[in-house]
Amino acid sequence: MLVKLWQALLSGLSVGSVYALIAQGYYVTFITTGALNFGQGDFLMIGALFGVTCYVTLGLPYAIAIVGAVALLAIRTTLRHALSLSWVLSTVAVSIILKNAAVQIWGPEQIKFPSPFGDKVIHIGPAGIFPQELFIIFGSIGTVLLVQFFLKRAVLGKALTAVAYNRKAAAVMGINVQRMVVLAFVLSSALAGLGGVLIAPITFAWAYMGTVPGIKAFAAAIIGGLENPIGILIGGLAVGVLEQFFGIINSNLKEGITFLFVLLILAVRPTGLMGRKEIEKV
Amino acid sequence: MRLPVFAHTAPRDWIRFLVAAAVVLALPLVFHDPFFILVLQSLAYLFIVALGLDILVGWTGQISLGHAGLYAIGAYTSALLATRAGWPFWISAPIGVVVAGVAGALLAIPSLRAKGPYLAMVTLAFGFMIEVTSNRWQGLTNGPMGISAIPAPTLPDGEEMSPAQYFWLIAGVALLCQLLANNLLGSRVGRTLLALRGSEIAAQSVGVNVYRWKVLAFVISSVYAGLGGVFFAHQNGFINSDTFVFALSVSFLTSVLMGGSGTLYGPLVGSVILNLIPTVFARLHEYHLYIYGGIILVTIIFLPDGIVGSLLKLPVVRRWRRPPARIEPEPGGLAFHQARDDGQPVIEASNLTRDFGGIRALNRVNIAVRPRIVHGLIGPNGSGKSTLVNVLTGLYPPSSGEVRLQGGVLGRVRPHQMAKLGITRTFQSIRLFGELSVLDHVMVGYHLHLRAGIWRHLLQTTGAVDEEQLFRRKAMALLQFVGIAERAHEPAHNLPYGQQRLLEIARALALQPRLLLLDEPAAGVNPTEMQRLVKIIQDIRNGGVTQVVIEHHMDLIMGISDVVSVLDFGEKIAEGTTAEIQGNPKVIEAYLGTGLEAAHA
Repeated sequence: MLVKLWQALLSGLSVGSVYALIAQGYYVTFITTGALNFGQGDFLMIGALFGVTCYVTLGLPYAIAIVGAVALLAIRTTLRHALSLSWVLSTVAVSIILKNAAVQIWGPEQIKFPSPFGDKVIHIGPAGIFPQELFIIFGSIGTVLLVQFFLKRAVLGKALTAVAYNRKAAAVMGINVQRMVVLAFVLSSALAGLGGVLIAPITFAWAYMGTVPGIKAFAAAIIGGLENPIGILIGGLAVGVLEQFFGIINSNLKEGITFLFVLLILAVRPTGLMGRKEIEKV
Repeated sequence: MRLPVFAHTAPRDWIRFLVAAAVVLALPLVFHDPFFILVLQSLAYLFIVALGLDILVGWTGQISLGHAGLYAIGAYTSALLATRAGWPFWISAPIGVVVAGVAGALLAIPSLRAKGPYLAMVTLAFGFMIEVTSNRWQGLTNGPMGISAIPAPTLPDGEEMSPAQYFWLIAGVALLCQLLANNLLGSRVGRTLLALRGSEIAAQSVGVNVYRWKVLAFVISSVYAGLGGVFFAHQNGFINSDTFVFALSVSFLTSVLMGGSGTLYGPLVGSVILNLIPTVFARLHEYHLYIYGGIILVTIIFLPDGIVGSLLKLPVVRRWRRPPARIEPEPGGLAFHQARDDGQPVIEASNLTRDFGGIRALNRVNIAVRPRIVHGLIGPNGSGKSTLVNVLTGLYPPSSGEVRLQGGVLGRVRPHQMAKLGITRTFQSIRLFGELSVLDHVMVGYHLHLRAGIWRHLLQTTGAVDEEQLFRRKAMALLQFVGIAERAHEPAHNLPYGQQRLLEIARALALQPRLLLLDEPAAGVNPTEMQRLVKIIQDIRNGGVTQVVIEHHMDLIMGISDVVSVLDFGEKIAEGTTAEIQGNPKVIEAYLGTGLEAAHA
């Protein structure tokens, strides 16, 4: 049993770090625009499938696959700045269109995406883990930290944060708000795309792979508190590990536990575990 | 002649519904194609769901990304009762609807305090829980294999309904649903929902129990969703878990937004158009999702108010709509609460302290407001005046200290309960109810005085309609009192700033409060309006109502106050008559800094 738990913890951290990565995308768009990009899951899917094309079909190295996927996403997302109302539905609409496109380009089948690190299991204690899973953990958490560094230290990142804080004041200071909003969406989609490339070797790549991770990442972001990047990281890892733990008991529970968990948390803390408790100024 | 119910429905509305009923009756008779009739059935029950969702989304301002879950609950409940227990449709269907309503009430619990994306998550999680349950709990739902042989409803002679008859049933119920929704939304219920959508805090200030009304909106919405689900389950005799997915919730939401959320007929238009797309473009099924997604995008970009919402905004349509009838103010309709002057303070706070994080906004403040006076409250910015009002009206609980009302100590009282105790307020930053008309703002103010509840408004009984009209006349009297009666039917946000402040006073007065707290009523008010404001405050006092007035305009405060309290850095530094305050060195110091001699010393 202990071995199982250890194994679940390792796999959970791996899946959870991908959730955390995607969830960071929700964070970035939410703080800048107050809107959520519900297309996240499908950008993950596009990232993975594009990665397959680059890596398997064209035989390019893994790194280029990542860059290619991210670049494509960047281009696609710049199209969305024209939308300013009913964001939620518009992003859902974009994701519906993306799915249809994916089916037409790559077909409806699941495509295998071989890991560049091979399939040799690494043993950590009594449990085994694929090298890809380890790479996911470090890659995702590293990226999350990089994004934070970018937002807190880089001038562009600070501009983004400024827009988040007060759009009008940022505009007065000469920041192109529109461009920053686009940047936020590009960044968030790119994070999802990266997540797709990372996770595809241990799942499969196919047109419908994105919906569930996209929603679970949203749950992770909400659990942590949408405005708290550290909370989101913890939320993501927690969701991943929780799922694997409950997966030991019953595979049906595994599917539902995240949503039960998020309902329970929101019933007690309406802005997530580490979200700011809002006091409305009157 | 007036009917005892539907008393408010005008003849032209009846004609409209008779025409709609005739169309419903004729459709299956004219078109015999079985597939067409099946499509008609689907349109009718999907419309019911969209209508219910609009009550939640468009009117109450909540969001639901989990309506497929409520729809599923209705469908499964009725289907299981019919197949496993062998109950007839006429029993299983109402139970399905009730169970969906109960589920909606449960869903409301975590939704009450959650806002924006957090609320979206609650409903989304609920939808997914139901989706996973229907997919995985095979013992109950049989998952993707589904439940088959769900019987169609039977006629009195024991025969199963034909598809056309089933369509008539669904469409008839759908018509009734629309009629009842029109009743509800056109009445006090719709007005209250719009009010809490506009500003929960302002709605609470006149006694609206925001939680209760949100639960109500969730339950109504869930009942409609469950009803749609029930009709779906008995349509083809087969349901499985593939139907009740997130995409279905999205499509419900899309119907509402496409038709126009917050309009009466938007859901009808939106759901019919959206759900016809797959049928119309059946031959292009490979591109179906492109078309579907594209239509959503196009609607959102070009018709942000939805189809009906955009039509209503067209100048032609606006002119064509009949102007609202003139309402004569009720003679003697202006009533104030009559306070007994027994010398007891109306409200009394002792050692009141309130901290925000590390900041102490109020520090051991003692204040007692005597009845039938104007009690001025002044102090430099950030001295804690608004915090004091917020604590006294129950918006923030005090960190320590107590508030006594007519001698009794108040426990934790929420703002709407404060309103019940006769205490209300206006707001420093104006809080109006979105697009509600000036008159309707005052009507919301009467919330605690209106006796007819949801059932009577649902049926529009003569009693409910008469009460509504009486209070409309009273509201006119109140608007006349503050001097904005001529703008009664305009959306409140069209009023200039000063008149919006007067409207807030009228709304608060509708409650007939014993204590009225005015938070900077003169901010942004022009000199003419200022004179009117002074007169109004004096009239209210002469009417017998106690007032606490926060202001920065010293002329105003010194002109109207009987007693003035001065706050500085969260502490009360002085209290007395206007003359005493004007000569008080501490007050002068707080406002102007220390004198020259002190600075040199």
